[in-house]
Amino acid sequence: MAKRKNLIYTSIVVAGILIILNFISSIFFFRADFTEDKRYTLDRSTKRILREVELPIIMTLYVSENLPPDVNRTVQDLKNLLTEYNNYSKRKIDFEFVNPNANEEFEQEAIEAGINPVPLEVREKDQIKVQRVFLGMSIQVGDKSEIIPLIKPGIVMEYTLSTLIKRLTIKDKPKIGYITGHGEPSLDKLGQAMTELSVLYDVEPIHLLAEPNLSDYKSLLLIGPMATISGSQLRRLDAYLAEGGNLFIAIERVNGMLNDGIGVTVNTGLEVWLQTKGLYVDDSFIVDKKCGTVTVQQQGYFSYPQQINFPFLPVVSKFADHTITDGIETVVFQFASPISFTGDSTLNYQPLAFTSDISGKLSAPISFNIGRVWRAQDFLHPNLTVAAAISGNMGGEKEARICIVGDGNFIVNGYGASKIAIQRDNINFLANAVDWLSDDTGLMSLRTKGVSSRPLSEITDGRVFFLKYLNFLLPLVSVIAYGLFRFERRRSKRTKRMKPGFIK
Amino acid sequence: MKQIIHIASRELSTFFDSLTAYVLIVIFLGFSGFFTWVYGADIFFVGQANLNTFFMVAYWSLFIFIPALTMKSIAGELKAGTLELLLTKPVSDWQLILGKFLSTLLLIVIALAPTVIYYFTLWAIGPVDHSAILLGYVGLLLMSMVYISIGLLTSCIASNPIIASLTALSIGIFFHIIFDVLAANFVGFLGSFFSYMSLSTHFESISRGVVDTKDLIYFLSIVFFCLFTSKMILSNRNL
Repeated sequence: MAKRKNLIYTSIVVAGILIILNFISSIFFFRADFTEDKRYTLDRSTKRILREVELPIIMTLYVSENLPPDVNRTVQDLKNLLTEYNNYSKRKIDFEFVNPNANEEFEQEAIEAGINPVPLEVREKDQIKVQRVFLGMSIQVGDKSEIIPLIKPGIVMEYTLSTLIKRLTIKDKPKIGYITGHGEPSLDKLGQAMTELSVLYDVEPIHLLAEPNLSDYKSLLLIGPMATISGSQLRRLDAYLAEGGNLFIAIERVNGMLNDGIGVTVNTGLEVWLQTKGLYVDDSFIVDKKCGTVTVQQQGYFSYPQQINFPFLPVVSKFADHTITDGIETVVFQFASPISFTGDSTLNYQPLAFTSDISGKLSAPISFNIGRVWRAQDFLHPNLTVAAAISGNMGGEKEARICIVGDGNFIVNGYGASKIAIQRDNINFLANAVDWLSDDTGLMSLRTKGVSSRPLSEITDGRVFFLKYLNFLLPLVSVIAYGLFRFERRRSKRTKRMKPGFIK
Repeated sequence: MKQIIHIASRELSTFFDSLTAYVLIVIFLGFSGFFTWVYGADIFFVGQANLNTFFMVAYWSLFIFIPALTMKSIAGELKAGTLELLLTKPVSDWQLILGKFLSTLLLIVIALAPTVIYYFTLWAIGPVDHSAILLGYVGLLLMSMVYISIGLLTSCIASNPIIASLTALSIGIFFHIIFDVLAANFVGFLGSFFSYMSLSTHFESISRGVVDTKDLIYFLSIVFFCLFTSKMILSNRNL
């Protein structure tokens, strides 16, 4: 009896010590991130932003208590993240938790800050209850403030937080000129792109002839011009580049009008001007086996929508190693044209994005046939360049930079009923390019953080079948083979032992 | 240490001389291979170069597989009356417990070893995050250590291997399922407590590629507690 008591007491003491140890370790812990892309470690962009913080940053987290564990875990992760932010900013960040459900004053404070309660399903006493919870935060620097109205569970918060801090702490945003007057899409058709660029830059629409001083602009954007650009305007661009200006061009060399079923060449004069820089944009349509789809209404007894691969919508996932393409995985184009370099070595040319191994080009004009059967001879031009960058002296003594994309629509959302969501990496590509042109690596690496996917290579069906059954059967066969070998060895030992005269 | 290794190697040899180890390993590899490569959310269906499917299948199959391996470790000896004989040898209780623990852990390593082919195949056809996969295996081993130690404890308590196995499975169900369910049903401190107690919380944390001291301390605490209590039970039986 005494032994049993002793056993129970000792076990309770050991359990107590271990519980305390676990409790302490849940507060003071060390974490090492072994992921290849360091997904769970603060990004270098964040560290740079935090090092540059001068004024104190006050973060108020309006978070209800008694949240479900998964939401609680998100809040705990955010708290850990903010502690790291505080360390890197040399204690410039001060964060506090407020429970708006505690009293009306706090609730009012949260609502005034712009954080509204959200309904959340909570299971309590065998019943699903809908609880009004607050799950937001406000960030204040001096007299400026930003809010995160809802901290979504499972979302990587680093990009959102760092972007907001950057937006609040940046003193003078560099100006970016958006060239208009030649049928370019208006700025409100570029919603996603403008939201991204507005973190670091002031984007202003400009007209090449009306603007007195282009050198005020760190970079100029020329997106999808459709009308002629006059010689005098192009000469202004030349002068801008000669002074070390930077230019982002998304050129619409061919225009695919799917509703009309035709694709035609676009001549604005820009293509001729680009040739003087050594950049040749072919007036042909890129077609790629790796492509997006279009929805076609199938007619017959039943009418139903069907997704059909459309090689005129190349999906590009092959990129050169460059700061612009850092972390970019997939950019989707529509009716793009290939780019090549015809200049000399005075300019540094770097192709950035390429079509797949099974791609080709079709010269404009062209009629589209959705039901066309694509054959191998349609894809005779692998690895066509869709985006490129050049740098060097362009008529002056200062280094100028141009980044060009062979599709004028790749960042256009449109508006109204025709508004579409653009692939996140399309926007990242533009934003990274503007950062590179403007010599500002602000959020470059952070933009593409945590979105990495690791797609399998394209392999033949035969190889898929082989690998499936190799991996399924080989481990099984090897274990069974080893078992049989061992059984046979034991049997032969036993037989030997049973023989008359066996002495070990 | 020498005694521990000796006991472990003898145990391991006994495992492989019986059909049990082969049957269990073949079932484990069959399940893992089938669901990782052939059927359901298999690697080619998901299209991503990671072994998440395998880790999830292994996470569940090891949970069922381990109590079957540990049930005989002490209870079997008690039933056959060989424990007293074993303890007359120059072997301490700790050495016996650790030897038995090590042998089962080695068997799990052997069961997992053929699945390394999955990793090499994946490496050949996609951009693999090597550290995340390695830590996925580490997570499986830590989880196995927990279930082995629970299995050893129940094997010390129960004199019948079947009862030992069922008790280990019942305790395991708490760490594997029930704490998770309780965490989803409670809010606030209790919710966080049950979430911390759930093995899946810590397994997921490690298998995403992050080593956190709180996860390691969680796993090692359970292992230590179970082995320590097993040793105490064994010692009390001797006195």
